[in-house]
Amino acid sequence: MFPRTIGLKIAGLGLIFLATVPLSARTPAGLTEAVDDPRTVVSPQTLQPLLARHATLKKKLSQLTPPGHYLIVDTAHNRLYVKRGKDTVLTAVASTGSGTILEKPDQPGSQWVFDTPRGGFSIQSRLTNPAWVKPDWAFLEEGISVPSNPAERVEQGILGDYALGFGKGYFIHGTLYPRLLGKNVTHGCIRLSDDDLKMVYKLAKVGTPLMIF
Amino acid sequence: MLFLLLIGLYTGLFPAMVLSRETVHRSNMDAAAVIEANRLLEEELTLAGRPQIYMVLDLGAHIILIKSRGIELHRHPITTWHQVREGSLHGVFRLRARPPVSRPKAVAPAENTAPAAIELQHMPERYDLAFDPGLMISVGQTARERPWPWVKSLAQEWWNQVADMFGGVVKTEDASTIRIHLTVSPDTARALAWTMTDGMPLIIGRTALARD
Repeated sequence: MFPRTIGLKIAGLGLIFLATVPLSARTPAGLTEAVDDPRTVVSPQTLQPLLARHATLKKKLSQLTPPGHYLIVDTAHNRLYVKRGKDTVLTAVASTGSGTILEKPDQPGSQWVFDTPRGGFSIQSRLTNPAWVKPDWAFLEEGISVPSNPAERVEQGILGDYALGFGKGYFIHGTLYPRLLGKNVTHGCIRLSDDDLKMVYKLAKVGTPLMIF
Repeated sequence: MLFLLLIGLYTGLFPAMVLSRETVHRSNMDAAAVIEANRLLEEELTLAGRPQIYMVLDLGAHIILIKSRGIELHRHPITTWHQVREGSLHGVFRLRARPPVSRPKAVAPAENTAPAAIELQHMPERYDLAFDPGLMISVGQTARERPWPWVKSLAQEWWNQVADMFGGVVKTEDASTIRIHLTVSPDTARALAWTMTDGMPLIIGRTALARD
């Protein structure tokens, strides 16, 4: 038989151990649904490969971030950001699309919608002293007829010193109305102040990614 | 004496047994979280490889992320959510149409006056978003903020459940359509509606892992 003192010591140790274990660890209550789901029962040994896979996937995702500068345009708040990695190089107040509509006179039921397009784009052209070739809607909006001579569509000094095209006739350019920066007033293009436009022109090259949301 | 010994062994060993079981449970929980996070990352990689804006609805973290090329452009907080009708949330869902908004007619620009335009404040605070395949997300406020729409949505949910029970007799929508209700602030609802575009991709997860 065990000596009485040893038995008491064992019992005492057991009670101390029980007291020191947190209540939450003694009861299986409070476990999440995921634990009870047989599909998710995984032994602790399999956790490491899963974590390694997680790290690999995150790395793959981070590698999709453009290596150089990239542009982000927030159309809700009319801001343009030039970023490099996670750093913001420039925050500019912009003007983006008004979201208004204009009926096409020769096509009943058809209309222009003046939204800044949302999505993933890239800079396709970089122009200095750009001329504006006025589209049909610009004349119709002013209540004048569309000229038949293409030369009558060209206007200088409207778009500022620079223009960066990102496809389908949309540009990042300057403005004659700096007081309207920060508002949704354009026909889809992105307007900037002269200083911000100069900086963006300097940083953005052909191929620079542009994300508009 | 023997009684004390048994008590000692019981009290000493039982917590250890439960502890090891708990350790296994914890590992399972961790593993489940990592598996879910990996699944979401794999789905995101299919979207991030293309030049587009996409949404990540993370129900575990209570956020909606607007992303492109893996870069977080904006995040919208979710107050609460519940899944009305169960079903798999795996895969890419595409928005059929953005919430409708009344568009003013364009007028000629003037020197210092801003013409009529759609702004954030004009966007709706409560709306349903239909996604393909088979997903409906209701965005709105809490009962206290908007009691009538809340009662209406409850009635809609009840009717859908009745429709599920009686099959083709009182069918209102495809029974396989998953329904999720998101409770968000009015500002978030408007900002979210602004961001949406027709065909916008969405992936959904319930990650419990910390996001960078």
